[in-house]
Amino acid sequence: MKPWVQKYQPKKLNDIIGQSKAITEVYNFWRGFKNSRKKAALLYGPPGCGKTSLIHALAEQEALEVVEINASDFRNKDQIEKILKPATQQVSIFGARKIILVDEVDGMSGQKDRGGVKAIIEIIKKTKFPIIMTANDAWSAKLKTLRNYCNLISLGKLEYISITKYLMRICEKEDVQFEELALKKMAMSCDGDMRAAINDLQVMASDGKVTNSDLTIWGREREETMLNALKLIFKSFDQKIAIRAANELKKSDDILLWLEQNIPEEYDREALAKAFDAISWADIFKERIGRWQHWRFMIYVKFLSVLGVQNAKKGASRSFVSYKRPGVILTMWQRAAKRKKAQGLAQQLEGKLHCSVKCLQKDFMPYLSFIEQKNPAMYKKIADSLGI
Amino acid sequence: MVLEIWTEKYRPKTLAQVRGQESVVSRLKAFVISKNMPHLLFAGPAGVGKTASAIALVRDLFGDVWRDCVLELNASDERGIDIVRNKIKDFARSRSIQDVPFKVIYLDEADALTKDAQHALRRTMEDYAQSTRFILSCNYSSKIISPIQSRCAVFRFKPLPQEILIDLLSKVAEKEELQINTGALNFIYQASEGDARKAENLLQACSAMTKNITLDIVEQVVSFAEPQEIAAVIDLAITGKFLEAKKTLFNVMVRHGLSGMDIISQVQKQIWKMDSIEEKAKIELIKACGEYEFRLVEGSNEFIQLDAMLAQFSQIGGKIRKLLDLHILKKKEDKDED
Repeated sequence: MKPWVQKYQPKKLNDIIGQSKAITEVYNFWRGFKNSRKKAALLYGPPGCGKTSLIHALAEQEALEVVEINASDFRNKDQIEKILKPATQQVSIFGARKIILVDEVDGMSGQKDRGGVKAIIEIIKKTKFPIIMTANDAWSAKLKTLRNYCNLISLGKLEYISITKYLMRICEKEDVQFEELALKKMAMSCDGDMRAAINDLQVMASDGKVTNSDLTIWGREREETMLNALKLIFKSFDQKIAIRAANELKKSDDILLWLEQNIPEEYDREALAKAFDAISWADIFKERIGRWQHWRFMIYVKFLSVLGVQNAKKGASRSFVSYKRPGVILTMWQRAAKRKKAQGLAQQLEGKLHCSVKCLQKDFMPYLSFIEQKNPAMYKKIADSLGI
Repeated sequence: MVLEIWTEKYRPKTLAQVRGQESVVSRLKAFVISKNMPHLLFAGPAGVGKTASAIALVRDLFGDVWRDCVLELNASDERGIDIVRNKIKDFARSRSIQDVPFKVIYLDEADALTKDAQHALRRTMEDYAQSTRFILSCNYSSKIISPIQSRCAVFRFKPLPQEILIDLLSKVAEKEELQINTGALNFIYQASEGDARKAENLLQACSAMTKNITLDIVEQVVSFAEPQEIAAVIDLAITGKFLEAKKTLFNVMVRHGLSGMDIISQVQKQIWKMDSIEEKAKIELIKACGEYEFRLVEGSNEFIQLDAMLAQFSQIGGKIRKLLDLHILKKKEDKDED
């Protein structure tokens, strides 16, 4: 039995959801390859947004042979030339059509894959077949020269609605009973990563149904280790034990949210300020990981959050505190959705009302939504006249 | 048409209708008579009539065909050099079909243009001066590079005096058949900080409730549209009620759909306004505010950064109270010694 992530990999471009712009761009690149000046495309976007799936779907739909190298292969100059050179140069006697996929190109190691990027560039210059690469971050310094030889195609983070839809489709095919809310929650918790969502779904649906209450139990198991870690951070002074507890967490990212939620339960005044200062820095390093693709920063995130918070206190409070679950995620979505709606509206009105989107958002939209609430008839008249 | 919106419905149609900017308007009228003008730079606060004057000027100059002779652009939405190289150049380059001596490009919020874009603009202004005049509008003329300033006649728009804005509102109210009392009018003036656009929007929102507008109604709209809770959040934080401050802030953000950056800029403004905070504390708080604005830009989770800022505020509040207590104690001791 295949894992669902593979079983439900899109077979056709149409099966891919939420990335229509990127699909068109990739398809056009492939169709127009002969006349294209740039012989390669670089797809970039967050994990699980469908970069690799898109290429495989294209290959399947158009019956193309895929020559792939990914991060599991050594990718130094020699290896790349050995694998890719023949593939890009020889036209097979059967006239088979090919695409070359270089997966996770930003993951090439500076040490072990020395000369790899350069070798790829040389191959792009001479290739007879389209080369498609993927990366999380197209703007990393490593890819600076490579970018000039590629069509850049960006894929956005998937909306949780799209993910929910896909999960529903899978449930129907697998005869899994589900509550829509449960799938929605699952989709939200994975932060736009379809792969993670499908994996979660397979775990949850092993008994043939996905319900809201299952979800809480499943969440609870994860929570146990988290609560344990929190207790050790807040109550003890032993740094080694606290770090060890944090290492046992499945999703270590979550700890920042949990700490944010619970610091005020344990600390006040100076300790509070110190602890928040520590997680504030941890958060900054977290962002820098993404920005520079420098995973070593993770160490600082961990030390700053765990030890920074642990050492912020002078003495541990003895009293029992029941830790709270971070409640931010759901409301963050609501807020983002609200803002997006307002922004879209403001963009439509910009030309008509002689002022900028920013100014509309500040000085016009709030009043409009007041009218919408208090006097729907009046709102309708205004909305009609504005064409919204 | 968009005449359902009062700011558009009552937008001045001719220069004669522009209120409160007499010295500017009288000189603009001279341009209409001579059918010629230099490049213009309008500087002044929001909602005092910069866009209105520009549109009125163009209407007076070109009459019915004004729409074909003017390109209106907003620099704050497209701040890059591309806007200058593409849209502006394309329009400036093409000949006008209408029988007018020149065309006008109105560039709103020009101070939002990057330096590079401004430099690109400077050449464009020279190269196409034959066929095109620019009207740039900005809040602060200091943000416009001096080579551009020197190519423009600079007009400074003053804040609208209270009586003029109130008169304006009263006339709108009369035409819309509303009753409104002086208290309500004064409050609208205060809440809109002299910004006529905001004031008219506010009045229109009030009219959604009733035809008889009182202070109470205005207050309802204001507290709906603008987060009044920011002051409360700051107050709670510096008096050490961190959890309440955090909760209030969170609710404000969700209810109004505000970003972390929106919040920080409002917090900074609010600290400056609050009389209950001692001056020395203000400096400390604003410094913390700046630090966390920076961290917000660098970090990934707004809530963590904002909470950290509130925690910082709590600590500053604590320190100050200690100082105050010491101060009082010392005074007391001095007295005892006497």
